[in-house]
Amino acid sequence: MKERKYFFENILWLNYKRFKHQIIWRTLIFLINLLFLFLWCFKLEMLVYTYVFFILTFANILFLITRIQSEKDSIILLRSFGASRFFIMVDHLSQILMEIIFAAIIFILFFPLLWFYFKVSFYSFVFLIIEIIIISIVSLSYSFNTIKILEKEFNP
Amino acid sequence: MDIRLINITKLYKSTQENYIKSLDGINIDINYGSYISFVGPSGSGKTTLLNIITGNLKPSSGEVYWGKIALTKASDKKISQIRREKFGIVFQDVKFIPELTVMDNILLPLVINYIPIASKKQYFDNLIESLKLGSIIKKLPSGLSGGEKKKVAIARALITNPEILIADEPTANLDDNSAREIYHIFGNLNKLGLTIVVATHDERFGIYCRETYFMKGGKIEGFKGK
Repeated sequence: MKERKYFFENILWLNYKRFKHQIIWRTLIFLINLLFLFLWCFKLEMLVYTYVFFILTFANILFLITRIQSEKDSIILLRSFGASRFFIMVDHLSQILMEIIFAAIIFILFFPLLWFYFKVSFYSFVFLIIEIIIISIVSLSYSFNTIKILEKEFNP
Repeated sequence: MDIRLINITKLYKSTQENYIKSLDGINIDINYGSYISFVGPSGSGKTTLLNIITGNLKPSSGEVYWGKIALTKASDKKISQIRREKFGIVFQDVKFIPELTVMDNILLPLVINYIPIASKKQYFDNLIESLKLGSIIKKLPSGLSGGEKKKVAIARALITNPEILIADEPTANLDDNSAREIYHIFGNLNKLGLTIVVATHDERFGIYCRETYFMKGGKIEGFKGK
């Protein structure tokens, strides 16, 4: 029981330390996303807007995949130190959860602004939520797949 | 914990039908408190051997005993637990998490070992002082010199107070002064009772170790003991 307590406490510590270092570029990326979606929604037809939305989602997913690939070394390091598969899974999952929580916090902070735009364009609001959901699902499934591949590399 | 390697062979697949023999019939006993080095050129199987000793790799044939536990028969959970609790590892390419400071990187094995970080404060301070790392603990790994990186990797390997320190090429790419400092640190640690196993191409290590195995082509070709 005590071990389990420190397990989660230490994983939180690790994620907090990483997150602190990444907070500036994470905020920037989220703001760029918001900016793009709202600026385009004033000018474009629904069809073109949908196209822009998919390009933006694709770019975000590409960015996340690059990020997860750069995490490979960290996973190998933790595994070499004796981290169990369960630890790696929970650590990775908590990182992605943090990304989602972070996005949600910014979303709430910007809610007054969103509300204003919501009146202008219902689509921009819905698209933003869909974008967050798609990116979360893709990055989650991709990171689990990466762990699986690494496990095979680790014990050939 | 004593370690026994019995007739260890490791094969790697090169093409669909061909295999490369990285290790061939290795028999070694590593007793508690020993100071061993494996010396040989690149490709002689030193790193593979260290990976098998630490349980990072499983042998293609043969058996590794950690005390009474047979590695090939142990579960992944058991292997991970022993690796966490008994081994301190210094990697050839040191490997740090780039977003974490030197201090946080040193504390990393505690995170994996489910040890409360605050409980190791005193030990951490002593470790930093004895390795003279005080001035760099708040830096990021990218801002360190080669010698500093190796010393940080040694501190990280020691933070869990392991029984066995495994070091892969600890003096690679270091100038003479930094290399001498590493020999000195390892010598002192061994005097305190720590078992040390080193893989190196640096033959000078042999002067400081109690047992030196010379490797070539995956085989042990010579031995020098004190």
